Amino acid sequence: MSRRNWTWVTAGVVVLLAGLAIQQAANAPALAFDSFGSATIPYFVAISLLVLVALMVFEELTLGEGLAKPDRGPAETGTNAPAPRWSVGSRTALSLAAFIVYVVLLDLTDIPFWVATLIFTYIGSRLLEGGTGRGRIASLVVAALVAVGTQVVFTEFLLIDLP
Amino acid sequence: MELSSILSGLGGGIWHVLTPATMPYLLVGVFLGITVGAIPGLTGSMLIALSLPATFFLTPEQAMVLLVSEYVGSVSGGLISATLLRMPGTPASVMTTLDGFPMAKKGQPGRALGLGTLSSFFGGIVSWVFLVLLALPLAEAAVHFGPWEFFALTLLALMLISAVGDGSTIRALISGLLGVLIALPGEDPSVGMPRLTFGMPAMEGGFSLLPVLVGVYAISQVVSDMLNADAKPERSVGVSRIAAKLSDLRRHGVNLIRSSVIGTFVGILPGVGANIGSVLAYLVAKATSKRPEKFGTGSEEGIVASETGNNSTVGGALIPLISLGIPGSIADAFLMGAMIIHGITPGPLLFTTNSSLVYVIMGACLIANIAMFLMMMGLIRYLRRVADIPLYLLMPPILVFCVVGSFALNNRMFDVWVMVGCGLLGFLMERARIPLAPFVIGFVLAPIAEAKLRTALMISGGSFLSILDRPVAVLLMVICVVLFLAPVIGRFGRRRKTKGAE
Repeated sequence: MSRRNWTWVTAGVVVLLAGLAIQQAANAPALAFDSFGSATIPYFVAISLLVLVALMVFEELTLGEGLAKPDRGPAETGTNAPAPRWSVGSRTALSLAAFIVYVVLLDLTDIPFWVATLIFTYIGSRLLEGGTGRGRIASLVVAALVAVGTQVVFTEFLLIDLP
Repeated sequence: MELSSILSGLGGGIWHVLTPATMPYLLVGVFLGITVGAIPGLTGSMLIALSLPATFFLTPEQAMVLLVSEYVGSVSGGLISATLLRMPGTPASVMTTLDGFPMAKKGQPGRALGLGTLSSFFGGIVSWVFLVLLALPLAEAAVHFGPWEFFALTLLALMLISAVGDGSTIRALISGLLGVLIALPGEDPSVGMPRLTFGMPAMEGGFSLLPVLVGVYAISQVVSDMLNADAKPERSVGVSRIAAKLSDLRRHGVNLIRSSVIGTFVGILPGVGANIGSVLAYLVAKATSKRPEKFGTGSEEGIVASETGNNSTVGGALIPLISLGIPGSIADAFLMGAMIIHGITPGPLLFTTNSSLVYVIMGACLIANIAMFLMMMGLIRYLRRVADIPLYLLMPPILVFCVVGSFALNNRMFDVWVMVGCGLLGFLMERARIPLAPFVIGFVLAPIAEAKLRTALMISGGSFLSILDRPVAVLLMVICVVLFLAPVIGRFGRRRKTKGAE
């Protein structure tokens, strides 16, 4: 997706959030001794956001890519490592989907934290690696260390419950 | 307060840091900071955010020592990958890349790292001196501030971060106001009744600081790093010996002092981080150099300016946090969050209510710089290996820590979903070139700003004109207006100039 399209999507999300704030501010408590009121700041912030989003859209249309910062400097690769089989976008999307599934599992099921974490960390790592088959053992070791280490440190030493 | 009491407080703070109960946290913090700083894509702010849950069961002093040490270490660690990988470990080291990597390619990686480490140390110590000298007088002045002054000050912080950033002011303001908007649901700070909660009991306490900041800052960064994963080189340049001499201090003395002062004062500006300090110091060094053409080709002056500039922002940024309760950088916003979680209110009264903690923070800043110098000089050859760790091994564990950190605060999955939602928002903002720093500052400062404004209005019976009785507040508001209008005036001026040239 182009930078400009990302701007449209973000502008839409900001408008949605501002709209929700305005709708909710209408139900904010109003007390006699507080003349300023609970709703004033939410209204002010939401309306300011709507104005600024309009200005951002105008800025995007008039200046457009002129605002874009150059990407980071080129990296010196020069390695013998095989190129990933999947595109970086697919790898990222799949890993994030795995992350959402992980959070859903933690929220809605009774799977022990360390099991869910072990599975997610391993699968997430393999998805990000890109299907070349490098570092399978390393992924497994890291997944086991993170899963068991987090469980033990938080529940046994810090006495913090985990999901 | 007399000088002797400051010195005795400082002595007590340093002594506290050096005790066996606290020192291990400092060493762990510096080590973790350098390690995370050396890994491209991971930042000190992310480390501080993810470390917060681990501090719940520490004393406030131990927690602040750990987090301040991570902050110091992370700004310095960025030097390693900037020099050996041509990829800044943290945004603060971008300028170091320009000269550090060419010097490493010329066969002098040890010299580049040694000089960078020495400069980082020098910058850190100079900014620490400013921290000690300026924090108390500023706090004493701020004790006389009323609600109008604090409201104007928080507004100024938001305007400054929007105006001083390197992108569009409009986008920066959107970011700041989005932070304010996300801070609004929950208990009204003045009347204590819930608002903007959608009738959900889980939202009556509002969005907690940690999930929001972890989401917006850490998750969005993880996603960006995943998308840039192919740009990371596989292997860093090898290094055998770290070379820095005492004579370097004399040779680069002017540059070191000038860059330290620039970095410190950039650090004091709310929300303006180490990257701006580094860039400014570098540009000034280049402009005043006798050999500006050498910059970008492995210039020692460039490395010195960049590394001194970024490290000196650390002490500078702690000044407004301690004295005014206004975070000087994103990392400071997380430190402020840590203080609040530990039941401490940062601000001018901190010197009265919890002066020992202030001096412990100052002591930690000093000792962490010394520890950073020793660790970097001794371990850099081994630490550089962490920069070679592939991102696919790092990112999933970081996501796990984001979940654990968000959950641990209140033991509820609602916060994890808030973190996920804010992560999505942060990612969208990054893609749309909306900076994240104003969001963080806006979210942290919004409750303070609203509470102060409404207190001021309740005192004055609802009259906004009562601000005119407070000259400091009026001055701060005038600066806000100037900052707001500056880009418009600048654009208008440029257009007239262009027309004139035609």
